[in-house]
Amino acid sequence: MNMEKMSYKKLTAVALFLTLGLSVPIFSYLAQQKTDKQTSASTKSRQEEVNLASITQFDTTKPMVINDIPFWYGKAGDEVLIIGDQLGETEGEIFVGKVKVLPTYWDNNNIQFVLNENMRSGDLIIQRIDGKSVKWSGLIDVYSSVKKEQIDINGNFIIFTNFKPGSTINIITDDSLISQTKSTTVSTLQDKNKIYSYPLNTPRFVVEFENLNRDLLHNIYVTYNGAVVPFKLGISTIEEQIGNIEKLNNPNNIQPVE
Amino acid sequence: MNKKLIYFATLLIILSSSVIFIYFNLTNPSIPSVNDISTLSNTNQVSIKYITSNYANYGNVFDPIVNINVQTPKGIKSMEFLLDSGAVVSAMPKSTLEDFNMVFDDLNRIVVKGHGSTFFAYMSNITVEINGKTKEIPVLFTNTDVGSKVLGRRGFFDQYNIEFNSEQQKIIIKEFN
Repeated sequence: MNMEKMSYKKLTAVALFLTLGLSVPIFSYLAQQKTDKQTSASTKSRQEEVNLASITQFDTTKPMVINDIPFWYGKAGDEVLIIGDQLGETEGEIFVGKVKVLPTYWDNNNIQFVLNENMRSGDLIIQRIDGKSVKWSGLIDVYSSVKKEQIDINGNFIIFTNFKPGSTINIITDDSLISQTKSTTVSTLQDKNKIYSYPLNTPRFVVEFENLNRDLLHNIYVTYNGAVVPFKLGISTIEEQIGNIEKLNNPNNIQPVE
Repeated sequence: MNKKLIYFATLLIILSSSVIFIYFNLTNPSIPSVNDISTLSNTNQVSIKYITSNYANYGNVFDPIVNINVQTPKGIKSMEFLLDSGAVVSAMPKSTLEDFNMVFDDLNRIVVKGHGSTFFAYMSNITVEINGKTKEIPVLFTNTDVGSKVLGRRGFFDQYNIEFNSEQQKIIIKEFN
């Protein structure tokens, strides 16, 4: 193609022809390519789904099992989902810290209930309609929706609530007390006590002991930027410590053990 | 340099750019203001045009997307929602909690079951403007950062007659008394 000999009119026509002629196959190809648009109408398919146990038939010869409780903690109004097997086809009874709770849903593999204002942290027991029951190995942790630094002791657990992220938990115990929650440091003190330290990065933090004997528990305190943070004692702690309250520091007079 | 060659190359560039611009505007339209259903209209209904997307295997399909003004502690914010009559209640991803100065711990958690999946979500209400009127609608904040905001049946589809008029390529949202 000799452009020198072509008129401007012809050049324009050729350019137009080339552009349109090439754009048809190119854009036809592009139109057939995959789009990034999701074909799902809702967000349901993209949720962080809970892995439920497989649906099983009720069989009284099989053991009653609690496999998982994805959220074993919450405040009044929060719903709890229990995932298990052989829980029964009809509603039985639920006990949290010995208080009976009404279920919102019950089948052989799932039970749901809502935490309420009257509930306290405690053991979870599921009792089937035929009287058989199972106790969960963990603890249902009910906390106040009022945001205040709080420490609860329940069973083998020490529960820290609403402390600022970045705080440090310090638990001083007798040397013979064994903690199952991994701490950052464990230092042995002169008087044969030891101090467990945990960095606190979440509003809820639970330290579990293998067998928490309160007589071997000497001091608990939380520091933030080196200063001790005052806290209130959880109801369960206060109830259980009546007559022995000196074992835990008065929140208004906390002195860490050196 | 050959003047005619420069002319030809320039013309080719201009024409190609124009064709590309037209193509992408036709296939990927930005959300136009006509999809805003917050602004007061003269009647008790608002009408918005269909927006289409090109889906693999299905070609151009309309997306029922609306823009609504939502009241937040930081002021009014226009948000894009998908009309989803299949959803029991409106839903928003957790990334939007920041707009409302909230965290999950401020809200009540519920178990959501449906279509073979089970997940946890957190209940709240939001205040929106539809056709110039403010309205509080229940919403679930889901534990995911991705996903569309959707307007579901409770508080939206049960408060308005929603017409998908494919012949006229528009959605009509009409408040009833």
